[in-house]
Amino acid sequence: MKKSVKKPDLIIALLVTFLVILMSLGFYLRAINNDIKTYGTQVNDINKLRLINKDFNHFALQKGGFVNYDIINKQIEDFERILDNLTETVRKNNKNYSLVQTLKRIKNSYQQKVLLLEHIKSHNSAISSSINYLFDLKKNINKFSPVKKSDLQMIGRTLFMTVERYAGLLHDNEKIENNLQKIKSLSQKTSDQYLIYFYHHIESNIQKISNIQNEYENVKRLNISSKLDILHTQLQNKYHILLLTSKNLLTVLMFSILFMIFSIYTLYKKFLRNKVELQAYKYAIENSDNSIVITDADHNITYVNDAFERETGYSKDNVLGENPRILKSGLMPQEHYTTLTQTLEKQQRWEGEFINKRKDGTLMYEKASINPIIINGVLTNYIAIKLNITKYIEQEKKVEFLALHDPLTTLPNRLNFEQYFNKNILEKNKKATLMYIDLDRFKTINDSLGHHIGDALLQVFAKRLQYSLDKDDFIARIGGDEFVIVLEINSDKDANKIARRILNLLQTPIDVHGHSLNITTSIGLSFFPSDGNTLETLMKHADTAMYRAKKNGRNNFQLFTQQLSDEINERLEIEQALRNAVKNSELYLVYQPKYSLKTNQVISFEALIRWENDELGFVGPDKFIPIAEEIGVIHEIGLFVFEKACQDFKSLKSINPELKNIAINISTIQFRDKQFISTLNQLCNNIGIKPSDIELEITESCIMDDIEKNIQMLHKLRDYGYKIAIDDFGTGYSSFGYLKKLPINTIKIDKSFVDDITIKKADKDIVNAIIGLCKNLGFDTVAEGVETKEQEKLLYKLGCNIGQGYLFSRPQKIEDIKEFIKNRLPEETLA
Amino acid sequence: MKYIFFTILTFLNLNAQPITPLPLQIKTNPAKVALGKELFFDPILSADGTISCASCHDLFNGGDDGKVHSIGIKNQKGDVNSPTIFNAVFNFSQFWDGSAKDLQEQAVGPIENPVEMGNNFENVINTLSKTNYKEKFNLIYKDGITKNNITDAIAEFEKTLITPDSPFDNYLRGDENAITEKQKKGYTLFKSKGCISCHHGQNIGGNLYNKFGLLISIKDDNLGRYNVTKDENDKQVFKVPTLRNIAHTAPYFHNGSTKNLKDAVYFMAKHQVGRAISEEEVDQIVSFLQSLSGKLPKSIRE
Repeated sequence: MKKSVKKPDLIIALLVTFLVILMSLGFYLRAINNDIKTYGTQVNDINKLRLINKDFNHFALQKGGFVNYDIINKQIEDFERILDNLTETVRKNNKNYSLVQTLKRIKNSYQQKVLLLEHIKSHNSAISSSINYLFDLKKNINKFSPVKKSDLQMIGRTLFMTVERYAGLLHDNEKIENNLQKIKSLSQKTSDQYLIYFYHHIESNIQKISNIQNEYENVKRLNISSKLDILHTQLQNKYHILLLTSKNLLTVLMFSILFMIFSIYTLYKKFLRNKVELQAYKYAIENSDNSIVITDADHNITYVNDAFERETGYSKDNVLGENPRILKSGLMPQEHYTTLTQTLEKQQRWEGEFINKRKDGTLMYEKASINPIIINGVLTNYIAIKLNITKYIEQEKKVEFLALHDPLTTLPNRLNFEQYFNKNILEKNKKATLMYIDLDRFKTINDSLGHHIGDALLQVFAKRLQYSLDKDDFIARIGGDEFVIVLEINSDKDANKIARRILNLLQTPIDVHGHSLNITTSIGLSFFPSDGNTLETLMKHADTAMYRAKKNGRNNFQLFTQQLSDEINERLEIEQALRNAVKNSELYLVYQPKYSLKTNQVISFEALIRWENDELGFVGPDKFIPIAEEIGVIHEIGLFVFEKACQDFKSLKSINPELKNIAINISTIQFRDKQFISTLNQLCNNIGIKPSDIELEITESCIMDDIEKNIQMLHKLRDYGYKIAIDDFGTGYSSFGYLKKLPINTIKIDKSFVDDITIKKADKDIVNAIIGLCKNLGFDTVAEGVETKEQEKLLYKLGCNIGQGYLFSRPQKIEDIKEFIKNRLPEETLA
Repeated sequence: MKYIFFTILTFLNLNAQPITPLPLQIKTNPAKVALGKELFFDPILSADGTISCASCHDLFNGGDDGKVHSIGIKNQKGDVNSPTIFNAVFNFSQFWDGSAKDLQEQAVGPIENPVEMGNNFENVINTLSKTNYKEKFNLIYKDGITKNNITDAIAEFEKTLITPDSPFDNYLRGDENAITEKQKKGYTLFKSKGCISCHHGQNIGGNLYNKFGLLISIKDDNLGRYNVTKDENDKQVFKVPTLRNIAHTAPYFHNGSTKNLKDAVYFMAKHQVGRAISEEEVDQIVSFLQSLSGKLPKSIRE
């Protein structure tokens, strides 16, 4: 702002300078012009003085006759007046010493001349009158005076000489004086009055003529004319200097005009350049993406750009002259504006944000900077530059929202949940219930119907959850189908009520994209602070409870208990130990013989797995097999079992070649493995055993899981020669219709039927029906868990051909089995 | 021949009209004239308030005082005869010795002359300032009462003191009957006797100096113009006085030595022009001189 001189000032300074130069030149030229005019008058005066001086000289020279002195007096007066006037003008205008001196000399000469002229006047009057009278006198002397003729002649000559002397023809008085003495003596002698008068007149005249001639000489010596010439020359010199000065001044004037024109031209060019620059600035402001508002010092809007119109919806006409507060939304605290006002009052730049209102009432966020414009120390305007950051703010909010919310259901996400819980429950130490919700079999829906269906299902479920709960209750989605709810209640009763309500939410099927889905949920609950002090613990416990609910057949809820925790801990221990069980050779096989009910001869063995861990001790397969299946070690275990069983069978068969096969249990997991058959084949090959020596026991539920696919699988196995038994038959939901399609060899009747076969008629009927069916379909039937003779008898009676159970033999280690079969070789028979 | 020619030339020159009539009026400033008139008659200008300009210049009696020598304050006697104030404006200089250039310069003289008004201008201005003159001066002059303004006003008034319309002027203007035959003869004598060589012009005198006792010297203590010029030749040289109203301005000459006009003419003929003159001739000349009396200024007459 303060740097250098601004252009308008420069122009004004130039103009003022020029004006001053012009004015002073004008004044000076006027003065010179006056001087030149005065010079003219002065020269004129000098010429008049010359003429008058000439008249003076002429007057001094003239001889004889009457002269009216009024004329010469007038000229004397004129001369003095003109000279005084000239002196005055010279004093006033020229102030030149030499001129004044010359004038003084002229005046001095003039005064002397006037004195001389006065004398000349006096003498001339006397002489002219006297000479006139002398002629009369001479006549009278001729007539009346008593003088001789020679004297008369002398008198005549004297008169004549006097006239000559007066006329300047005679140069001295000598002769006249000689005669005059004669006349004197004559007059004294005669006492003649005429002679006496004559004598006096001649005497007086020659004296006066001498005087007048001297005076004339003196007049000439005064030489006023040459002094006037000097004056004239001096004035002329001055005049030439004046002319030269005025010429020089005119040159200066011309140059200053040229300079002015050049300066103005330069400034004009600069101005044009500035104009273009300003237009560019203006264009920049007009087209800036930022809203630009300019107000006057009283905050009235004087300018807004296009961006302002665009962003606010106000047109220029709407806002010009208004105060920018028309944009106020009222959402900013008043202090915000107070600070703004204070900053601006201090003439400082203000920066900040506004929440403003558009013309249509919608809100906009603006990042603004307001600068006071100070020109020459005076505040003239304010300029506000504002950037609409609404989108950015919204985006920021969205990002913030996304960071803390699940985009699918818009529920808070895990992070949000953790923050919420820590902040609102743990830090405040509020009692609360944590509810862990998991949709049952959601994976199946996702896999079979597709993710979009699953997503839609989740959205509907989330909605239903939100509707069913209070606003204060916190719901979050923390995983695929996992939700948590934080309830600020801590009573089992209330928690149970809400859990039940949630379960009921899903009684109505969910309609998604034309699918009507029946889905259930399992819920685990834990309580703060009773079930734990950290979110991690509480979550773990809720998860445990939920897991239990799942275990309990899903579609129910469980409260966390310490027992649950223990179970889980145990399971975890098993899991850990199991991972190393094969490697540590903790697993081993036992064999239970299957025997012919008819002959009581061992037909085959079923390989059964056992696990004995150093820490856990003996763990039953019913406990660890599901875990193995779950954590995937089942494949490893399966292979171990298969390989070991096959090897053992080889050795057993070498003892008793009559043994038909070895039965090996196959897990559902194994069965689904695509590499399963090839692996088995390879092992058989490696061990050197025929597939037909192997009977694969597969549970009914496993087969029924995906019956069509499994039938194909079973066919393949059969094609390789493997024998197949359906284990635990009767416990699943077998459709008898399928049985005929199954390429199986054996059906094993589940122990649960055999147990009460002798007591419950229904069981006996079922077993009977199964056996009958198997016979019809050509399957062998194996009764599991035969423990009494009665059972054995009845089963045999019902037509079951093979038995298995404690009655005949407990499962035994391979060494014992070897002994067992050795003992039971050929000669042994059943009663 | 050339002497004759010269002589003729001289006489031809004499035929030129040597006397011209006075202008009927002179342009003046009426306000200044009024103020000047008041001052002229006011003895306030004198040191003791006894003498005014009019004391020595009686406007009803030829413009002089009729005394040989004028009387100043405290009855002091001056050393010259008071000349007439009438037509003084036409004199080429003022006072007998020409020591004042013009009327204004002249007006200073009597005020400061110890034997006349015996005053000084510091005192005059001081005195006038205490009267209503102050206002009157201020009305006319920017700088109020000053020496210059006092004398300017008096001089302005004196310019009105002219006497045109004398019979002789009327004659000169063409009225043949304005003067008598005797007077006409007197005029011819006036010229032929050589009076005209000094007394000529519009004021019939007053335009040159000459020696008192030009041809035949007279014993006189007054050195005249010598006092001004200190030139030996100027001893006993005086301004040639006007002959207008001469019949009313006795006694005559600077010393007032002659009581009547006839004697004065005799005296002049003898000492100045050195000529014999008859009684008849003197009578005729006196008769002519009487035709030179004009009318009193209108402003004074009323």
